[in-house]
Amino acid sequence: MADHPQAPSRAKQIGTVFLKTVMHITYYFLVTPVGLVARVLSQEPLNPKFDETLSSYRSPSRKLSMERLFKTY
Amino acid sequence: MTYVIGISALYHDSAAALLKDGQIVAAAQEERFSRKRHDSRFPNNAIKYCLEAAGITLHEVRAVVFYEKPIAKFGRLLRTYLAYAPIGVESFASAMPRWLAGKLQTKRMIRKKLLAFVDGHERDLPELLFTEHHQSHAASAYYASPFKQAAVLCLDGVGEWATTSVWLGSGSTLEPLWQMNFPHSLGLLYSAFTYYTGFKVDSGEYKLMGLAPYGRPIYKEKILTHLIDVKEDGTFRMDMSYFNYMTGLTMTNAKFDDLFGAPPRPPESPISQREMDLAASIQVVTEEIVLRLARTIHRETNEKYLCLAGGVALNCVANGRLCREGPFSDVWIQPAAGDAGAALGAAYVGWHDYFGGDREIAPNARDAMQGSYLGPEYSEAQVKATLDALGAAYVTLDEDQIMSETATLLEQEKVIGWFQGRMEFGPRALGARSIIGNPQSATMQSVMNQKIKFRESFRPFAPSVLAEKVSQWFDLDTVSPYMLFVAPVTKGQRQTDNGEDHSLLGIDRLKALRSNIPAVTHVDYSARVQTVDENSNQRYYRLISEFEKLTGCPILVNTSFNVRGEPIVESPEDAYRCFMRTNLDFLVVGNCLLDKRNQPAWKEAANWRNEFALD
Repeated sequence: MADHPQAPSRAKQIGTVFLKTVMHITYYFLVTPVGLVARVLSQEPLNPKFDETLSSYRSPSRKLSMERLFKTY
Repeated sequence: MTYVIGISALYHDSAAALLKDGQIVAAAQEERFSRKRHDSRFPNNAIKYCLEAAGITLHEVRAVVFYEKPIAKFGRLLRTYLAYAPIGVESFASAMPRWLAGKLQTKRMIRKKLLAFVDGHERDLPELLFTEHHQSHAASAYYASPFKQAAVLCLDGVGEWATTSVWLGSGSTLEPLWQMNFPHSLGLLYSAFTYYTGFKVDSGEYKLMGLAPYGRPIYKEKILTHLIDVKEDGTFRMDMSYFNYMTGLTMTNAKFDDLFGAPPRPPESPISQREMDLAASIQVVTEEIVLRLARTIHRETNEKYLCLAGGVALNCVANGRLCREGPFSDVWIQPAAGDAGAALGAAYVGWHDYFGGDREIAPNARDAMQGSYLGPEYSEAQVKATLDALGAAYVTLDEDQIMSETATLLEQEKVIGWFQGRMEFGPRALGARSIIGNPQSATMQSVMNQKIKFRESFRPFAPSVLAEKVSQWFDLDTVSPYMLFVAPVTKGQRQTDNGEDHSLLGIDRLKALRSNIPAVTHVDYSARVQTVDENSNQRYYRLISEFEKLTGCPILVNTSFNVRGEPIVESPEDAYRCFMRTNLDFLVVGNCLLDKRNQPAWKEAANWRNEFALD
């Protein structure tokens, strides 16, 4: 196999198809149900409509601290 | 002595910046070394350059600061998919493998990359810190500014969550006040129109800005009614049902197409009046939001000065209006306002927030950026060695001769590659890696666009003007050393009786001779001005002065030294290559003058234009 010039690209193609399939399954069978439940329970939707009753769309900023500099989140 | 390195990477425009006791030593974008435009890879070359510029190794660096928080960014991505699932599977399948394979391991990856700089010794690694994306932008704007106290506004696409943020800088502290969050983003709204009008997102935004003066803002009300709700204080919310960037592989969707009556313009297809009108419309909306935000910030903070950063801060037309119509006494904009500049901001956060370093503002300096000439430079011996190795034919002149000879060539309307001193940090060429020409020439704009830069004919060029003469030529009452403000050509320099056919629309409007400096006068009489003073770039100042002696005009056309899709040249070798590939007439590198007619034939095995993806 190692001598076959097309082997790496074919293996890569198979890997890509496999990965895509896994991602699709994950999305439909894990992300979607969790997302649906989260949307039902959420008080703060990500895509709210225009709101004429609000005077501003701003949000408060999070306080910064030196400890947070070590964190990646 | 405390050295801190800031890095930005893994999205676009990777860069590194080095501070020594809070002062900038060096900063550069990775693309200049790798020759890949907007290179997002870890900035190995830029870090190496920064260390060399300081004459140190990574052992002596106390901290490396990454410009954002990768896990927080991943959290935003995940929450977006949860909000839209089952829509968005293609985007999920495309993005997740990249995150799982590497981006989630950013901390480990950075450590691994840095290990190569300390011979693999873990114990020699500096502290690794992570700022927030907008914190990096805000720090790059405030700490590098000349102000002891100022309000700061950051506007970009998105970092972790923030898309717009307001800060208050005072002494060596920078405090967040409020923000707006993803998906409501002025940067992404502008990018959506960039995509819809057929330009490349994260790259073609400045083309859209350049296209706007050809159009009429006839879609403004449509945008404000359907796409975005703007409050009196400038904060806004977008109707996401028109956009696809949340979960799709495009920026806009079919509903957006229906609203504007057509699908997106295919890239590289002819540009119609419709695209120009769309550009004009989104430009006006952007300007009005920026102005409203500025007025709100001024009212709430009562500060005299404003600092700006984030990609939207590169919109120099909006910046020009902010200067002319805004409430602040002065506005300072980080010249590397995009993500590259966030590397500098990250380093500043390390110095001030982690090491508790003081902020010192040099009394006579305009700001801390040293003219933004923070990149590599080459000695005369290095230049000559390179030119000799390339077999180039050149003459070496003394400084007086090179100035007078170059000015004479410019007067004769020759187009010249100008390579001098330290390379610029940020997206603009400011007279260190520039292509320069005669602004009085009626044909210069089309020659430079089509025969030298190989780019779209509608795009304007910027003027470099002697700072003390700026008000004679442009309605600008501030300095603009970083080419970040657009200002109108003064009425006295305009040619109104030029036989212009006012019924002409679009690109045809280019045909009219609008001013005494037509090569840098846009169709609406505006110009993206760079003021040049003796302190920040002595050689460039001298050249423009010599040109003025010959022509009475203290202005040169200045565009970046590259062709379309290519990063700006970094080394003499890059400069010579670009010189030989294009229709540039002369090249000046340091004191070496190269005439194209004397050069040996240039041979390349492959079509070099395939090297660069169109931007």
